Amino acid sequence: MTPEDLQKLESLAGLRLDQEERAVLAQRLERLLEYVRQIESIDSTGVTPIATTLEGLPSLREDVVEESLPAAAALANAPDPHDSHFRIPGVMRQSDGENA
Amino acid sequence: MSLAWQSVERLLRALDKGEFSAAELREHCLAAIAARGEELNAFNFVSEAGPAGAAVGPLAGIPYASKANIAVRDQPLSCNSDILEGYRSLFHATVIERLAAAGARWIGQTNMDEFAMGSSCEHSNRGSAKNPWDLKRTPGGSSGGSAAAVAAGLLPFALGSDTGGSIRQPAGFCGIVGMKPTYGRVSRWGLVAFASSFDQIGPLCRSVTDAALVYEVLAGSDPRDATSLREPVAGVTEEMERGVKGVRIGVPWRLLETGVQPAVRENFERSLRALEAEGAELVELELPLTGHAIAAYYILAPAEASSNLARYDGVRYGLRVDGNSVAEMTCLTRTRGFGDEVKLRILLGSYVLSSGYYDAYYGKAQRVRAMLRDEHRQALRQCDAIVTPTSPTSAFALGERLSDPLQMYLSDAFTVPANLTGFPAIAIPSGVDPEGLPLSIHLSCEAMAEAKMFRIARGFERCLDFESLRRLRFPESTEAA
Repeated sequence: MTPEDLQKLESLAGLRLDQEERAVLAQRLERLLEYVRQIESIDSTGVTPIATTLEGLPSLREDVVEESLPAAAALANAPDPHDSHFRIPGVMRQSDGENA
Repeated sequence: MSLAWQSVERLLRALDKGEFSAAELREHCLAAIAARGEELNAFNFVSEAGPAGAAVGPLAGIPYASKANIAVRDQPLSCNSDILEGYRSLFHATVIERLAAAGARWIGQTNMDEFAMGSSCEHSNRGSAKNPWDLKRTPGGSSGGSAAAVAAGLLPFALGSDTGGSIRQPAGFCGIVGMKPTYGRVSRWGLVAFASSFDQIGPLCRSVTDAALVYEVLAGSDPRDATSLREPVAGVTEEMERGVKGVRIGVPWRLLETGVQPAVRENFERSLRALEAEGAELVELELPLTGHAIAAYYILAPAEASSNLARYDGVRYGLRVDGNSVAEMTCLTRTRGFGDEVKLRILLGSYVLSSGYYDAYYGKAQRVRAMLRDEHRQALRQCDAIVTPTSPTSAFALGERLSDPLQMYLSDAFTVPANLTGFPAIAIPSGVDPEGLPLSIHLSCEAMAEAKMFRIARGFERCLDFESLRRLRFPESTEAA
């Protein structure tokens, strides 16, 4: 795995590793990928892949309106609540680079 | 002798007769936890504030603890991760509601590997729980705290979750019974998701009968979980004492050829002979695909985990590390909040799902999963249960496998197949090795064949008499027998 590959993977995973972590995790990742590649040897021609062991349709409940979580409760664990919203860094930027 | 050492079965009888009160029983458990809890590091916390349980019901007055990934309203739910430090549940998991309705009394929360990713409880932000049989050894994982607490006689039972063996492997390492129900049999509502198509909640107890009593309360369909099975739950306790005469035990001998400690193999063979003497019949099985189970699992489970753990973004709950943009905030939060093992699995999952690799890894592993399920289904037409040791070794030393994840993962070689198939499975203590560490037998049956599985497990338990070994190691449990 090249440093570029790992960097791309970090961005997909939403992580930013430091040099030390990168060295350790890249080596562990390589070893695991080498191990899991053994399944290449299994002939699975014509087999339908499964995403779950359940067969048939999922058990959906009736589409009935029920009481939901009050906004205050939903915000109780928020790191930065504001009124009835979750506050986040600005998405749009002003021309001087400040968050709008 | 502490009442906390007594079995659920016996406690129910004694409470019914009024030999002591539920409050006294709870005090005994709290005292046992206070005396040994710190040394074992089995608990995250105990609390007076949790659900007290109904006055009457099949588990009325029985104290229990739950793993730190199961929601209990108003209580912390950290999954032993820094990213969820301070988070409090807004509702009860369905299993907590069912246990409360059955009269069980929640007493606290147990230690675990971060987000249930681990086989040793060492990937916990509070440090590892310890194995009560030898404090230098791992209790196993990821439900290591639950296993250590029950094995040390701190309380009669605890809940764990099992994605690749996280109930059964620690139960095996700690000399107790651990059971994973059929996928969908127990609601996952309120269980923090790791790998959604694998996760199941189940009991850790000191006897097969206790596990059956708790399982009967946990099992049932739940409209809040779309993967919950709608079929009615069959009772399991009635059939349990019927014995194993004529039961066909399938043994995949070839899977035991590599990596299995001699003491484990010896104990396994002895256990099979004991069951044969009770009238069971041995059937040799060939399960060629099952040797690839760990490989398929370590593609599928990390893939699901990388998707499930995308929700930890610092926006709505949990840790937030400030950044100049949403993307930077998310990235910094996750980087600081997740431990190394969780990061490794998210990276692995992101890799196998990424463009260019998806078909070769994820798609292929999904096909292998289908084939492996068919292989087990075919095998279970020739026999009633597939039996192996629970783990290839007894409990390993703390620190021994931390730098080698693959070695750590291979300790789940015999438990992972039941998560890939979705079939029920149970670990039963079967003896001790020359170092005095517990050994364990693992058996798995067809989907929803829990009644048969408990009956065979009870057969093993009766002829292996692990109870006398427990009494030798923990003399304080003697009067409880």
